[in-house]
Amino acid sequence: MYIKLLQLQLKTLLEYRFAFFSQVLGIFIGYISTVIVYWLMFLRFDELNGWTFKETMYVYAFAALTINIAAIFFNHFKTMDQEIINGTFDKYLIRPHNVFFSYLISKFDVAEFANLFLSIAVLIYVIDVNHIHFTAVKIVFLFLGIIGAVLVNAGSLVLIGAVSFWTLKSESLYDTILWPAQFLSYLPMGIFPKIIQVLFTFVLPFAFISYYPSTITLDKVNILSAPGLAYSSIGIGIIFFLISLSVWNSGLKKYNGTGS
Amino acid sequence: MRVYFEFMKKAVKNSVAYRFNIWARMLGDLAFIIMWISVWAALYQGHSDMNGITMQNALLYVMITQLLISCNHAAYPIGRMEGLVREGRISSEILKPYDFITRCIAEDSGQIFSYFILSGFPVFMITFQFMNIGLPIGPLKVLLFIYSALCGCMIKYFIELSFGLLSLWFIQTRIQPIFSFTISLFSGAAVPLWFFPDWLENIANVLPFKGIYFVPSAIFTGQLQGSQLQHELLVQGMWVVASFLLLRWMWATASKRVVVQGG
Repeated sequence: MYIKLLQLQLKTLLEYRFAFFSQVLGIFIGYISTVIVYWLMFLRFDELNGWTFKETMYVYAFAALTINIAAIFFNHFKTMDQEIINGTFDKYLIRPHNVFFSYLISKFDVAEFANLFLSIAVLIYVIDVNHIHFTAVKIVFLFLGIIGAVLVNAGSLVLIGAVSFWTLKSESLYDTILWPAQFLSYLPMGIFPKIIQVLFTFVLPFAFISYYPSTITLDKVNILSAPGLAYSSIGIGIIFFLISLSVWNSGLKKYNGTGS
Repeated sequence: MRVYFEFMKKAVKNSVAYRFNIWARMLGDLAFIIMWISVWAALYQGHSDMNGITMQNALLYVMITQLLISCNHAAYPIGRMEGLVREGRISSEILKPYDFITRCIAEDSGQIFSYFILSGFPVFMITFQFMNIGLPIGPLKVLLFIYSALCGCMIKYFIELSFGLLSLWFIQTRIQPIFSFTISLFSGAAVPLWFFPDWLENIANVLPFKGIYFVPSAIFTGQLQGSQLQHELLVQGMWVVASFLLLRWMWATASKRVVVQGG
């Protein structure tokens, strides 16, 4: 059934080719601009708290890839408030499946999917220029790290959506809080004050979007005060996603209550 | 005049009404300030200064630039124009008994002012106190900074509104990411022009955008002095006039176009 829906999405895409290409271009410019800003910073300075330009680019590329993957499936949670305000959200309530699942599969972001090829290419390129020596353990944790990070990103999008059950306006929350926070996750977390590191590890686990998993790939686990954190991405990702999901579901229950 | 003042007042009331948004905005502003302070502090590790710019200069620069960015982002003229054109409300705007451009300016300056009071300024003061960096300039320079910051705000607003008017001709959102990035790069929003390579700085010098953030922030950090300061202020003033004329000219052409299509 999901495949069927996907085909339909692709068909609408062909109708709105123009919007699709502008979205892809926008994402592409986003990449280029971040690279240029990093390049300018490292033109005069050689290190960012012990991280070189190439290593910092790895942190960014890894974060961008996982944000990208999560956006393919979960991007429409950002605009869930619009659906609730317009009343179009109610159609998911009467579908024979679980409401969360119905809403999840209602949209598949094709532009983000197209962008996936770029994200993967960039990550492979950055891995190449960093001359990373891969071991079996590293490869396993690279993939576990990606899954964990995608879950953290997905969880935060679900959480943003969940807020709209209560306040009805969640997109501004994305612009003002989640977007800056994602920005922070592009950088080695070690440069930030301790309190932010703790916050982004245990409360909103954005440090797992790239920083902790990157330390394994780049042989930097020793700089962490708790090396175990680097290996716990997948666990943190699952826990955070499940918490977000349950917040979403309790929001739904409250929404059902007022709706009838 | 009274009409425009009412528009301004309404915009202020509107932005005060959503208290949740204000808190969210303050948190976002704070996150960006902390992020840039941390980045520059980390880059400066092991360097006492870079091209004559000390770490204190750089940190003060990012703090004041973030304040200006936060205020400038309170208005979104491109989105406003795009929305008006998409929903077809632009034609009724022309018929109304006030000048559309002045109305936009009045409304958005109200919004910018309220965000300055409610989010930008308090966040800046908190970080400024916390970082314990002394103010390197006297009261006269502070006034010059305020003047320059206002000029920068106008340059950005006039250019962006002109760009927004392009939506009457074609869907300009396609090139908007490039446009926004050009402004952000050459205005010194992320990296101050001090650290640009020479060729890139030369490009920045002939563009209007450095007047948006770089010039006021450089005045604030005490890095612009004497004849150089006079020169920069003069150039900035010229760009304000030039971008305003551009906006006026574009609006004159655009409103004619709307009328022709409508008739």
